[in-house]
Amino acid sequence: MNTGNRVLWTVIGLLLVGLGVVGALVSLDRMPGADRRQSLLWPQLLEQWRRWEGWATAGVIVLGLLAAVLGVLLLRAELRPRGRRHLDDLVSGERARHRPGARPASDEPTGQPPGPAAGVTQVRYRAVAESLERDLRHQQAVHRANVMICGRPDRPEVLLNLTARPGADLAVLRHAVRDALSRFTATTGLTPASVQVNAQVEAGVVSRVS
Amino acid sequence: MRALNRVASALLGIVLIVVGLLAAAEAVAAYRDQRPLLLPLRQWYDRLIATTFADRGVLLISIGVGVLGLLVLVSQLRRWQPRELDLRSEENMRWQLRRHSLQQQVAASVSTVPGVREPQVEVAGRQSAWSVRVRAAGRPDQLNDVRSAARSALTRLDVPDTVGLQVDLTTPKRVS
Repeated sequence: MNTGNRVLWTVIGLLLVGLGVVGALVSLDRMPGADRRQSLLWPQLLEQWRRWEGWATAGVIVLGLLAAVLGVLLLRAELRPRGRRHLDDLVSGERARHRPGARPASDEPTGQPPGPAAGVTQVRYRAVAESLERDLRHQQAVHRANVMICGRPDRPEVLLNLTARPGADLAVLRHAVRDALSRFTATTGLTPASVQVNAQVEAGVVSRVS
Repeated sequence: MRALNRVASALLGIVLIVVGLLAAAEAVAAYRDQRPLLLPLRQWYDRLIATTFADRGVLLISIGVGVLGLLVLVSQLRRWQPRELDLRSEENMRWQLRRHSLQQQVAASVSTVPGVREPQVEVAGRQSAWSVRVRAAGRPDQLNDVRSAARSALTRLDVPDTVGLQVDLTTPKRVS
């Protein structure tokens, strides 16, 4: 997301520079083919608008709605942690076979929304992420842990934000994270395709409990 | 800068939503021959057709827009210090350490050397290839002690020995 924002503002910067330079050149009469005595809007615009009223209105509505949709997408990306969407809730199991007409969930979609049925297990995303967070927080070296799982359920990407206790050894922390991820895979059935760990160590005095 | 970019982008998103919806609503109002809902469109139109590029205000606004664009460009294109530093990665696991945390940990370790004061730790290079520079006030014969303290902090942070470490000591001023 940082790179995306940087590209976005670089493009905006370029546009503003271009606009400013062209405006200043025309204003100073240094722009070939442009007349500094021309007005900022041409006087026939209102007549043209009236002549094309239907199309012009439709055009403005479409452009306005497009801008609003882009705004929503941009705002949503900025408000999301790391600009990404987390995994959906996990659903496993099959619809009950004993019911007349019922088909396994893995079959071709019938177009009907799958109703609640026996044998289907749904695990909330938050519960999955929090289970890993709790496991990591129970490690001696870890003070705070924040987990985000995104991507596809068959190729999940795990993002870990870890705050280690003062004096923590990150080599030990690596082992602890690896073990926690093994337990996570065994419990949830999710095998991370990639794991990104962002670590920091708290400042402060090392506390030793004997 | 990253936080500022994020806030600015979120604000831009809000502006796009408001302006987009307002433009669509004003277009509908104009089509129905109603008065403009919020914007004084007629006054704007009259003013814009009466203003020419020769107007001094247009020149000043153009210069202002160009300068603003330049400032935005410079802020985006200059080199940013990495917020995270890459550590040794394993198969599918990528490890990064916050730069501030590394600086703080190394400085804290160096300050445990008796007589060494005011340690300053800088990280040079990119996120993927970086080195550490330590500056502190201390006697020249403490160079090895400081280096060893800094390296031990780096080792604890799982930073490989191949990462460069430069130590500079300045002689502390004597109080007469």
